[in-house]
Amino acid sequence: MAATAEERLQQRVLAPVTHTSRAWYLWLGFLVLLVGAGLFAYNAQLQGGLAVTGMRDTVIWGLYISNFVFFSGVSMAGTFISAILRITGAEWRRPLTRIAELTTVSALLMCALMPLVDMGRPDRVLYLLRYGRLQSPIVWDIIAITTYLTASVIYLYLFLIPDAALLRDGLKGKVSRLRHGLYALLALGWQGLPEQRRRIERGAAIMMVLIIPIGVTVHSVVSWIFGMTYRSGWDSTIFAPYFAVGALYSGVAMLITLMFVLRRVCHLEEYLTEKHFRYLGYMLAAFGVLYLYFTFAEYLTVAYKLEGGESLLLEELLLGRYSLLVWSGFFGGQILPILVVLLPATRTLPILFVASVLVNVGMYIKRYVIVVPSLANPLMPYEWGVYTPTWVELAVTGASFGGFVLVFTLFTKLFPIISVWEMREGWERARQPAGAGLAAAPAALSPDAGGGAHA
Amino acid sequence: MPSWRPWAARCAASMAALLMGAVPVAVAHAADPPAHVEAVKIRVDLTDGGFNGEPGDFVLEVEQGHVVEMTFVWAHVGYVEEEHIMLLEGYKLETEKLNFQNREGTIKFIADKPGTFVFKCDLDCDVHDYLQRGYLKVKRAGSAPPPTQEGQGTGSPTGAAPSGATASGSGTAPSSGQAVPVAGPTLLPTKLSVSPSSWVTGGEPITLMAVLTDAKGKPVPKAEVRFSLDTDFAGTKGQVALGVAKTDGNGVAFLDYQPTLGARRHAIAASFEGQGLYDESQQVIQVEEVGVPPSAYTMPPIGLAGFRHWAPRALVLTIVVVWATFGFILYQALGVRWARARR
Repeated sequence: MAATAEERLQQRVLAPVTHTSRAWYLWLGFLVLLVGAGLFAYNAQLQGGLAVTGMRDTVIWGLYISNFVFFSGVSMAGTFISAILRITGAEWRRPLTRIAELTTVSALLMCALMPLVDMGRPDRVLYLLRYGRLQSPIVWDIIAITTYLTASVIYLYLFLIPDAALLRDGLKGKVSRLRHGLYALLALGWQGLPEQRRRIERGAAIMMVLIIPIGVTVHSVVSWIFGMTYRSGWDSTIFAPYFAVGALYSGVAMLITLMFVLRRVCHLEEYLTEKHFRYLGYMLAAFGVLYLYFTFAEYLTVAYKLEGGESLLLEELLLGRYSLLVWSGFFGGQILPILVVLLPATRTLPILFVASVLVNVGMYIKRYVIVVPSLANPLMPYEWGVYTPTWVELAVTGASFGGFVLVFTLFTKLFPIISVWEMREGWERARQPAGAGLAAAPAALSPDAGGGAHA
Repeated sequence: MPSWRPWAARCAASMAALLMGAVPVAVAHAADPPAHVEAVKIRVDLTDGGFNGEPGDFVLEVEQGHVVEMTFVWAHVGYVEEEHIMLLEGYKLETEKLNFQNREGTIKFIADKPGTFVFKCDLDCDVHDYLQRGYLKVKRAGSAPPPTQEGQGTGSPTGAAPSGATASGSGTAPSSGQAVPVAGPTLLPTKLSVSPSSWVTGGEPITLMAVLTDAKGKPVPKAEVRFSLDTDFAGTKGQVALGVAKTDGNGVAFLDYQPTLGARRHAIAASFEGQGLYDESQQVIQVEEVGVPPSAYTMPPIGLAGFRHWAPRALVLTIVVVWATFGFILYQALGVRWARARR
């Protein structure tokens, strides 16, 4: 007898949980090696101090803060998109919300680590709590990131509870007792009772509204760390929306990249369909065009006035030593991906994937040229700064990206990467006559509607 | 303010200083020592091969409390194009530029600080490496044997030892000969006058002028004058360094200052920390900014104070509300377990 769509979904998304291939171990080993190399480099930094990095008294921020801004941007988009799609009731969201939410959590973990790594004396981080003043954007940043990380974990967890119950019931005796105990603990005794559903839905409804302003706040605060400093290139009033749009742009791109890889590796073609990529492609193009507009507005106002320091910086960026980075990031990370997505002929999955990777590379470059040249640009005529990242910074950066992917790798080993509960709910909703409540849905559900290929 | 104005102000100030009798005849090395004290005179030849022809470490010793007069003599044979400015670190003293035409430079000071102080050429010359290893050891008062002679002498590692000083070249034992003054010398008192006492500016830079003189009104040249401003940053009072200027031959030092605080009154301190034979002095002036047009950045005091007052509280309240909401949501999640228990 042919398996139902729901059974097929369970088989598919639980396959990585129950079966471990040799390739998975090899991949895990590679990631652990990458992270280990970063830890080794960080140990060298702890021993030798920040002198082992390329940062000096003039250029005080480098790759670490570029990573921080990049991961902060990626983190904003994941949960933000998930929440927006939930609020607007977009049914096509169902297969991708968990990937989006996990992207946020994973990126935020790396984002939160970066300022600690950037500190020459990480033990002094507590000073920020002891002596930090609420008037300082750095303190705002700590509060915002901590709040967003907590909110994102709660948000991810709320929708994970029913799936944890599924794993608890479905994998009893098939996984270790420790792992089964973990599922039982996380499931909180979920039985799918109306009262339980009501509680989850109530919490989720609040969270999906609350998390949007929190997400926007995080990246706005990151931008204000720069924007509230008297520095050429940073002294801007539009940095908060500029950063937020950039975050959405790079975050959607990262989502596309991860979805493409997970679709291939976990064989999720039936659920992450071309339609999902197409819709995300539209979002990518929309945010990309908006980001282009902000970029144009930012540079035009500066280029029109050509005020002393800004003039020097602009020359460095557009014609000087950073011009190759700036122009390659602009054309490769903004113009080309947007064109590719807008043209129907090139809007294929592999090209979309390449475009999303290009966006991420371009946006990383963009963050780098926001952080470094403004510091290298002289505050006074004789303060020219030079920055070249050392192997320590490169290794730690590699480790942060490795850690980001490692979180995904471990998560897919423990939990379904597509929310089975939400997919099922979608199918239930599609089966109901208009106006009927979800609580009145029949126990036996047809899976011929909802997200994925059936949406 | 047009760019020529600060220069015009400087010229006018210099003229004023001249008219007040501050004739530029005295420089650091020519200042009169305390009258009751004989100076310990040391001569150091700057040769092609180092100090007094010795390429290694060159050590001079004097006892704390002496007036010391170190004369550096340009004595090159092969490197006739050489130029040097000899610097004594720690005492912040330097000679004029020494070259073929101007062969001698003297620094005079009271060796009041014990320790070892480097003296070296401060220019990058051909024999630079050789002229980087001079050390003046100032021994603590009382650590030396009783004086055997007084007076003046010329010291060198290989020549005669100076009175009150010993010298040694690389590995050479110190020469004998110690001297202490009959009575301990005292630093010459100085007086610092700062102007202007008020200015009219719309944010344009102004030129601060400090005149440093000794008790007789003679100018003290080549002295560092530090300017600082009393300020208040986010409720914390402190001083912001405005800059350092050196007095010229008239004992006058200038510093351009750009008022940026938006305050009407500025308390500016000028200080001279003492140098050579001269004692420290300082002066604080209260200058008033008059005729300043209303700043576009100035907010009504009540509004700004009010914002400062409630903004952090509003932020704290927001954070508390958000985290309380998290608590409520977790309470809902935990309710999932309780719902099963009630079933």
